[in-house]
Amino acid sequence: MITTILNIKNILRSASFKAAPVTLVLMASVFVFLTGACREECGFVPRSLAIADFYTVINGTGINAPVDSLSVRGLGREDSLLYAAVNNTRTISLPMNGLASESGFIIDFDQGTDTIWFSYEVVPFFLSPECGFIFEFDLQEISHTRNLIDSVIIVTSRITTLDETNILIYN
Amino acid sequence: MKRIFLYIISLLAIFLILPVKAQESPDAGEDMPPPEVVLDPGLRIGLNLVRPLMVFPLPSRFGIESVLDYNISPEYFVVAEAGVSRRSLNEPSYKLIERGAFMRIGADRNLYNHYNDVIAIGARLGFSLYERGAPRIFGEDPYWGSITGSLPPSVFFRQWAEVVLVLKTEIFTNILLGWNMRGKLLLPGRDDSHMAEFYIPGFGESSVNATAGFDFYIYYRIPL
Repeated sequence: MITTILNIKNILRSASFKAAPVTLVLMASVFVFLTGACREECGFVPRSLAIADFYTVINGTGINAPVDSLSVRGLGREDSLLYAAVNNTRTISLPMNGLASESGFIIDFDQGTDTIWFSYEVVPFFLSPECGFIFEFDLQEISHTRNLIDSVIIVTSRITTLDETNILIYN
Repeated sequence: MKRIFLYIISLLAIFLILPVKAQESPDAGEDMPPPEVVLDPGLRIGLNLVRPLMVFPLPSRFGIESVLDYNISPEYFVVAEAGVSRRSLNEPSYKLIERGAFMRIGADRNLYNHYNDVIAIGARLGFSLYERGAPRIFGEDPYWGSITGSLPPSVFFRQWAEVVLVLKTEIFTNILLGWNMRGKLLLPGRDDSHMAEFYIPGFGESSVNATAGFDFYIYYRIPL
């Protein structure tokens, strides 16, 4: 520490102190250019999905139980399956339509079909200069048919890229 | 991570190069009069030279900053720094505009002075009032297809604290050059629910709470 202070004093006494700003300006310029050149790439842009867990009530207690077999497609995109006859699944992830304030999904069970509608507000979220924006969704309301689904509960209204359950589907 | 690395390299380079410069003049201490406390009183008006230069390598950034300092004694200065900043990111998938004003107030303690050359340490409290919005956002969902949107401008206010190492030297009568190295700590405040932290005018990149900065100034002293 004392050596450093003595060095600084020597710098001040020396004529080279007057030249130091030039050195620093050059260094600052290099630094500025390097900072600009070091922009990182966006490796992976995550996707906001509504995570729905299937529940069944057994002896008065809700249990996250697997569904034997199901297929899922979006309303308006009936030609494209999100899930195609998957077996023993406890959870599904549903993409909301960012161009609308409502999305519907048709769920085909073995024993019948139900449709769920989600109403939401689209919320852009800025991840980083490299990755730009993603879209999150604030769930406002859910409605559904009642062929096999008994009720749907919102547990986390903000649909984000995080792996957390948004709704519980009781059947 | 690369930026932190660059900061460290820059700081190391400054501390390494300056002593080497000093050692190149072995008789340096003998040519000059012995140090004594001589600091002409006055009000110094400075202009940050780094901030406007940033626009050349990074056209999306523009800023102007001025500084005012006054030595209430040979040892103590009161300092006020203020500026404006505009940052625009125009990417294929979005356009983001942020503009704002900032101010830092604080004081410096002169550790050593010699004919208006100054080495000082100081502290600052910084304030930034800025507006941020995205007039164009475009996204692609693999299932539903294209998504477009926008984010109306919102206003934010943030504060931070700084410790500063200040060096100044008089190159001509009443004209000084000075440079600052700053350590900054972002104070808790309202987060933007629509954005991860990324930039605050006057503070800089805010994806981390603590950061460092470097500024270079030219001053004119108004003799009093």
